[in-house]
Amino acid sequence: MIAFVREIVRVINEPCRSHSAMMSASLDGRLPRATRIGLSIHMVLCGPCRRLFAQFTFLHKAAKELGREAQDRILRTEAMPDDVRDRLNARLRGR
Amino acid sequence: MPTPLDPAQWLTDHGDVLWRYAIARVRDTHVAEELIQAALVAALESHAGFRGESTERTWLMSILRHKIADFGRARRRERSVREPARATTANLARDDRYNESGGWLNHPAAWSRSLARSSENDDFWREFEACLGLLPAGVAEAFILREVRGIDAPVACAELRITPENLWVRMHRAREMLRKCLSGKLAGVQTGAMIQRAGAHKGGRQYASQTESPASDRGSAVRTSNVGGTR
Repeated sequence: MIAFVREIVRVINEPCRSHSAMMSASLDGRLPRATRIGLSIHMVLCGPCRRLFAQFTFLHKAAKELGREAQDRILRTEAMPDDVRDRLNARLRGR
Repeated sequence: MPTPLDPAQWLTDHGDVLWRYAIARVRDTHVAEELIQAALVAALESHAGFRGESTERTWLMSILRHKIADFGRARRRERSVREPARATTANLARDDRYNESGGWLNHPAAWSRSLARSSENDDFWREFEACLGLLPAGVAEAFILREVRGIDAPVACAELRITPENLWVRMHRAREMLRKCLSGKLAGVQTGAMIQRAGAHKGGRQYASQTESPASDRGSAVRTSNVGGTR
């Protein structure tokens, strides 16, 4: 119990830089309870952290709706486009 | 006796590999094309230097890698002279939000309500995709596996061949970079039309400043009711 409370207090007083990583961990569902409680209390007191978390949460929710085609475009598994290949070949021949 | 080189076959044999490598690093088709061209030209010129100690592909790849590194250095030099606040991979990766003791230096910029609402429209998704595309390949991949496709962490780690620790670091980087990128784009040129449209609906609501607001600026700049401000 004492360790639990101590962890909460520690998290509340951590510099904000480390809260950012905690928020991410929380969205990944891997933040221990005491840490989560400490983070929540901290966010009641800290406006910028609150905003940061709201934005992370927004991304977390929005991401679920990204279309399949967009995913493939981002992950880029495609071949060199034909027009690029043609241009490069033409320039190589020109040498 | 090394196999003689056949430049006429280079693009047929190695084009796709060179392309994917360049694209993954520079994320811009025009730049990728130019860098590949520069690498191939350099390869032609140092033709004689190829001793057959490595395969033709490895040799071409190493030249391309150098060209990309040179390009990265030149771009960083240029950037440091020019204005900040452009969404580039390097800018997004820069950690400029906290001071030395880890307290806030630059507060996250407010997001207007139009951004939250616009998740139902195409403009938003174009921006989202563009921002995700600016992330380093491994980071974007981790984010898509976990957040978009909802794949379990152990499976994602196996697929990416990284440790769980590494996965969490990538997730955090992805969130930080995406958030920063969207913050910049919100008031950027490309989304101008989208914001105006949304503003017209809402009777000309004001929007957050283009860059992240310095902590000292608190309350003085234009503030809107925002996604994350008050809850």
